[in-house]
Amino acid sequence: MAMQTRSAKSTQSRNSLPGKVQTVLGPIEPENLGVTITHEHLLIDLACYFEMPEEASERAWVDAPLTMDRLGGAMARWNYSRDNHQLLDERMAVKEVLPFKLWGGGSVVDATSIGIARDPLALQRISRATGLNVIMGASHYVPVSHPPDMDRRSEDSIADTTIRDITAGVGDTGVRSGIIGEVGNFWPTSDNQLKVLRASAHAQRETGAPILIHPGFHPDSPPHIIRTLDRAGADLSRVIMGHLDVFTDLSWYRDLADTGCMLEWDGFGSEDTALHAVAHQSTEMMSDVQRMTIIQHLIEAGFGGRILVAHDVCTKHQYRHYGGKSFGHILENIVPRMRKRGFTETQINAILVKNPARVLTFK
Amino acid sequence: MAGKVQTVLGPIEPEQLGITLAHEHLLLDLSCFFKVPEAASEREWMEAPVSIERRGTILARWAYNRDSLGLLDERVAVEEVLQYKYAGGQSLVEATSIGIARDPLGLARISRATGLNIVMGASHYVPLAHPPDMDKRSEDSIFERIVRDVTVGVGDTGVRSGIIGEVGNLWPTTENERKVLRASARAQKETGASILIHPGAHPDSPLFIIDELVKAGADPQRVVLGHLDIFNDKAWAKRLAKTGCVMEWDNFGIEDTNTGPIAHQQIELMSDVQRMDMIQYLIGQGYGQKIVVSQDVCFKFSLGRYGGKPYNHIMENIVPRMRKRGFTEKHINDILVENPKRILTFV
Repeated sequence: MAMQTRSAKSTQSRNSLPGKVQTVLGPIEPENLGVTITHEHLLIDLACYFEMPEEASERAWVDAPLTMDRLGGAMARWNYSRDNHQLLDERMAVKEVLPFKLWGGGSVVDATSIGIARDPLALQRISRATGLNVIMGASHYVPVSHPPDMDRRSEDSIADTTIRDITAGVGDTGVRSGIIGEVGNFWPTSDNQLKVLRASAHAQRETGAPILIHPGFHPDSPPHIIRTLDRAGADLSRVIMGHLDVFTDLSWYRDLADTGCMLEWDGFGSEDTALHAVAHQSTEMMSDVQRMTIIQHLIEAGFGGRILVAHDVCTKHQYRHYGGKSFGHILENIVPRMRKRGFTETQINAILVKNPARVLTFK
Repeated sequence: MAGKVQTVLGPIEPEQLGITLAHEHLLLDLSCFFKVPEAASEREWMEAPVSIERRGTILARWAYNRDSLGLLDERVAVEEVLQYKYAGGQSLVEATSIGIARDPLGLARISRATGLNIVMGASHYVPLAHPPDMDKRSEDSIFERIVRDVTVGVGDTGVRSGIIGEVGNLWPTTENERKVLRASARAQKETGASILIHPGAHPDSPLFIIDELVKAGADPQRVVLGHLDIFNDKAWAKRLAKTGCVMEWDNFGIEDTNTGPIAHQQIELMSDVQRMDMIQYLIGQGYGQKIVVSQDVCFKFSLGRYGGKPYNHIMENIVPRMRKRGFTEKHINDILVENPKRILTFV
C-alpha cells in the first residue's frame, strides 16, 4: 500500500501545486491548515553543535541523562549535553504534539533541514498518528552541520536537491518538502552559506515554495540574508525570517519589515536567558512578555499580516516530559495572554491561521 | 546591638558577613496562598507532587499545587544552600516572617550545619497570612512583638531576628497592612534594625509604602524594597531610588513569565537580562550603593532538585554574566557585600 501511495504521488505534476500546501501526506487546500505553528521540530538531532567543555566537572554533563535536578542548569549547557540534543523517540513526539491538537491546533511546520536528521517517513507516521498536517523542510542547516564536501558542492547541485525534495520527494521516500528551510546561517556569512542561500532562492523560483531562514544572531545577519536572497531572485514576501527572539530594537524591526519579509518569533516558551551563546554567537533570549510587546508594536505599525509564531522545540528540555512547555504552549497560555493584552481575535487569527496559510501556499 | 549584625547564632561583626543574599527562604509554608481552581481538570494539580513532567507549566499553577507551596525538609534545605556556600557565598537573609511558618530553631540548625550566617526576619507577611484576630490587634501589640523578636528572641527559642520583614503587602493597602507598616517603622526606631518590604504588585504600592513608613518615623535609607522584578520601568525605578530606599531584585533565576497571579494581582516577571539591564542603568544613575540581589527561593520548584535555579544561581551564573556586561568588581562587591552589610548592621 505504501508503495502505491508513493508512486501515485510521484506522478503528480509540478503544476498541481500552485494554490496548494504540500504536507508530508500530500497536497492540501490552504483552508485545511487551520491553526499553524510555523517552526517546530518533531524529531531532530542537534549533535552538530556538540562541543566538549574544558573543565572536568562540566564534562559530567556530557553523557548524563536529562533529569529534573539538571533542568535548572541545562540551558547554560545545552551545547554539551548529548541527551538534550536529541529528539529521537517518535512515540514521545506524538505524545508531546498531541496537546497542540487538543488545544485547537491543525498544522505544524517541521523545520528540520539537511544536517540535523530530517526524517520524512517518521514525519508521515506522526502525521497519521496525530491527524495533524505536517509540512516538511528542505535545504541545509547551519555550517557546522554541512556535509564534509560542502566546499566542493556547486550552487546548482544544492538547488537541484532542494527542487527534487519538493517535486519528487526526499531520496526514495516519496515524501515531499513543503518549505525550503530552515536554511541555517551564522554571522558573518561564509561562502558556503551564500551558496545555500542562492540555491534556496533558485529553488523557490522553480517550485513556488516559501523559504524559512535561521539567521545568524547578529542584527546585521537578517538584512544581509534578505539582500542575498533578493539578488538571487527570491520573492521576499515568501521569505520567513525566523528566530527574531534575540533582537529587541524596534527601529531595526521596522527596517526589516519594510523589506517585505515575514517575521517569525519562534522561541515562545523559551525564556531562560542562561542561553547566552549559540556556536559562539552571543544571544540573549527575550521573554514571552517581550515577544508579545514587540508583536503588538508591529501590529500597530501595520505589519499584522507578516507575523508568525512557534516554539522551535528542538531540545529535550523543551518537551513537557522533560520540564518544558512544548508544542501546546502558544494555544494554552499565550493566546489567552494576548487577549488580556488587547490583541483582537482578528489579529490572533492572522498570526495563527491567515499568515501561515498565505505563506505556505505554493505560488 | 548598634554596629553589629544579628544572626540566628548571635551577633557578629559586619565584616564577617561577606557575600550576602538579601532575600531567601530556607524553610517556609506558603499555603496561605492556596486557592482551589474552578476548572475540574485543573484540580488534578492540587495534590500532585512536583515532577519533571509538570515542571514546565507549574508556575502558572503555583497557587493551587500544594506540593509547590512548602519548603519543609530541613535536610534538603541544607543540601541546596550548601551549593551557594561552595560557590563562594557566606551569608543570607532568611526573609520568612510571621504567617508563613518562620522556624527559628530550624534556621539555627541549618546555620550550624552549613557554617553560613543566617539573618532571620520579623513582622507580618501579606494579609492572607495574618492571624485571624488581626483586626483586633493594636499597632502597639504588633510593635511590641517585633521588638521582642529582635531584642529577646522569638517565643522561648532565644533566637533573635536581625531584620524586620519581609513585611507583606498587597495592593491596595488595607488598614491592617498600614498597622503593620507603622508598627514596623516604630520597631526600627526602637531597635536600629532595617526593614524589608514585600510590596503589592502595582507600581503605586512601593511608593505608598515608603511614604507610610517615613511618616511613622522610619529611615528610608534602611528600608529594602523587595520584589522589584515586576516593575520594568526605568523612569519609575528612578523615582523610587530618589526616596533613598534600598532596591532589591530578588527573583534572579525565575524567568517564566507564565507565572500565575499573586492573590489576583497579575504579575509579569522580568528576565535576568532585564534585571541586569535595570541594575546597570541605576548604577549609571549613581545608585550603585542602593542595590541588593537575591533569588527568593520560596517554591519547591525553585530548588535545584526540582528543576529550579536555587541559592547558587547568582554566584554561579549571574556574576560572570555581570562581568561580561561590564559591571566592575567594585559594582559587584557593592551589590553582594557592601550594601547588604550596611543594611544589616544595626544603628
